[in-house]
Amino acid sequence: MDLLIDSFVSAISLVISMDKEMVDIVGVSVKVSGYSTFFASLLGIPIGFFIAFESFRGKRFVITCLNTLLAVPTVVIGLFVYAFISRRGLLGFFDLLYTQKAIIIGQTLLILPVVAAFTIAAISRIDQRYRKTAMTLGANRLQTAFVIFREARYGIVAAVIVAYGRVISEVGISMMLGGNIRGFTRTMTTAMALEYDKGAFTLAVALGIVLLGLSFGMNLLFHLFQGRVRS
Amino acid sequence: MIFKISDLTKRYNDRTILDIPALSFKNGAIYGLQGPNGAGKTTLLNILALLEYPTTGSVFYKSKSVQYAEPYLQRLRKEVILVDQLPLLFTTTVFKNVEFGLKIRGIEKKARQRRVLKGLDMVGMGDFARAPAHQLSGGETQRVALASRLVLKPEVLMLDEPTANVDAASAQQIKEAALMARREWGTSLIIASHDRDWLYEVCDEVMHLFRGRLIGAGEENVIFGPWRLHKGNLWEKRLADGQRIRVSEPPQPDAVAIVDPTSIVSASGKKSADTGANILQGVISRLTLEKTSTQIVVTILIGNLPFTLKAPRQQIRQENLYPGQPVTLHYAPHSVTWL
Repeated sequence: MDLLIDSFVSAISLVISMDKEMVDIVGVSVKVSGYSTFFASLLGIPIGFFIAFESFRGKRFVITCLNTLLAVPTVVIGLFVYAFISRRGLLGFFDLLYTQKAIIIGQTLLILPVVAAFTIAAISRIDQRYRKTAMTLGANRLQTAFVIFREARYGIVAAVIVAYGRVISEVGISMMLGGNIRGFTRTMTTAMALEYDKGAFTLAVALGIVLLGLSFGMNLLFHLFQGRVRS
Repeated sequence: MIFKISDLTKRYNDRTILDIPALSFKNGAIYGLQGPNGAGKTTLLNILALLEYPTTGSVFYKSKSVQYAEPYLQRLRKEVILVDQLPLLFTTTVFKNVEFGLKIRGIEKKARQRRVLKGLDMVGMGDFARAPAHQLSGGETQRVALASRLVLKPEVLMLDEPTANVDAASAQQIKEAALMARREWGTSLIIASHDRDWLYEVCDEVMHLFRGRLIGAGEENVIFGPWRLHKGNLWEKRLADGQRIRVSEPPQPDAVAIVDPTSIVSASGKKSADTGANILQGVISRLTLEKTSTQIVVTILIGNLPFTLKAPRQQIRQENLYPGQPVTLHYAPHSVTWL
């Protein structure tokens, strides 16, 4: 118990003093998670929108597949991407392994189904009468799609927030594809795993506090947007 | 003709929702659609507004057959506009809602602003331009939805139960604004409504839809089964007050009988000499002027069944008919048609 209290007190002082190593690690985490969320949104929102907006054969099957992908373990994606970007892999010549780009690729694949599935849910919740209203007012397909998108905007933002929350707290992809290189690919979660292995809890607890703070902030934002959706 | 329909059917999962062999709408006229819930009024309006496709048959708009290809339909939808029964407004300001259709049509900003404000004034919502649309009441929403259509000066404006869910003041403003569109721009109006009096007051023609079929001009008496054999080929239905309506043999015991108001031979207090006729006692509940024929539509409550018949004004005056007066009406059982 003393160990936990001592670690917690030291960790608080690390957070307050903005310890450089801790700040660097947080910076890497926020940066790679930000990029992966950006790319996943860039791809996932249009994919989700298309699936929800259009009628096509096999739509239910595609949605079922996407929902299945929500539960894919990070280590599976880590392995999959590793197979492509390792020296012997198909994309080995890009020399991506153990770089931040590798983490971003893996994390993007991890949350692409999250963004798409939540976008589908957000679009599907929109009353069909919005489409009918836009059409009767003379809107073409693109303008109608824009109306639906605008009505679903809070739900879509919520999808992005959920995806960011998922990606910032994952450890498997960052460890397998980033390699936990100090000052370069060391993220909050990989640093915490390492500190635990070393038996040094202070930095791990400090990063845990920051991570919890970030997750709390993300959830707060998510509920704020969900509230807007409901209202 | 602005619209012509031929051999139109609409089916959902093998259920026929609409079956209209022929129907036409004149340019600049006002049409009323009457009928109970589920009669097919909304489906017909959706098809005329080019938002739904018919299963079979053709729709002609300005004498040209409508081609169900999106770019073509989008062009026509800029002239033919529908206001839903429960319209939705986009989650933005009232002004931007009304501006939406004008923006799509590429109207320049100053003209847009002028038309939006005029449209809002037409429905008495001029002070709400900057208000968030989702904070409006049901009646206000309906009025803004109407304004967003009126500013587009449509060739045809369809209103689906425009006054069903609004307060009296909103209903009045909606009615006035719709008629103003016809007066100012010659807009043809097609109105589906349960407000019988309003339809008879303003419409050039009222149509009665029942179970997807047109059964007449609106005053038809619809009597549901079940029917029981009385004697010979006469069948009957007992009303709540004990009176019996007699009809010729129905196609099946639960068939729906339609009694044409013109087949009802008398509304006076005197009894008919024709012993084969139905003789029913009732009380006049309403007198309505039919705009086109200048005849009076008399609604008579028999038991709890409203019966309508048409009578010339002279007869109303001579027999001194007024709401509340007990009357006897007669019609021949064989004048019934069946659905």
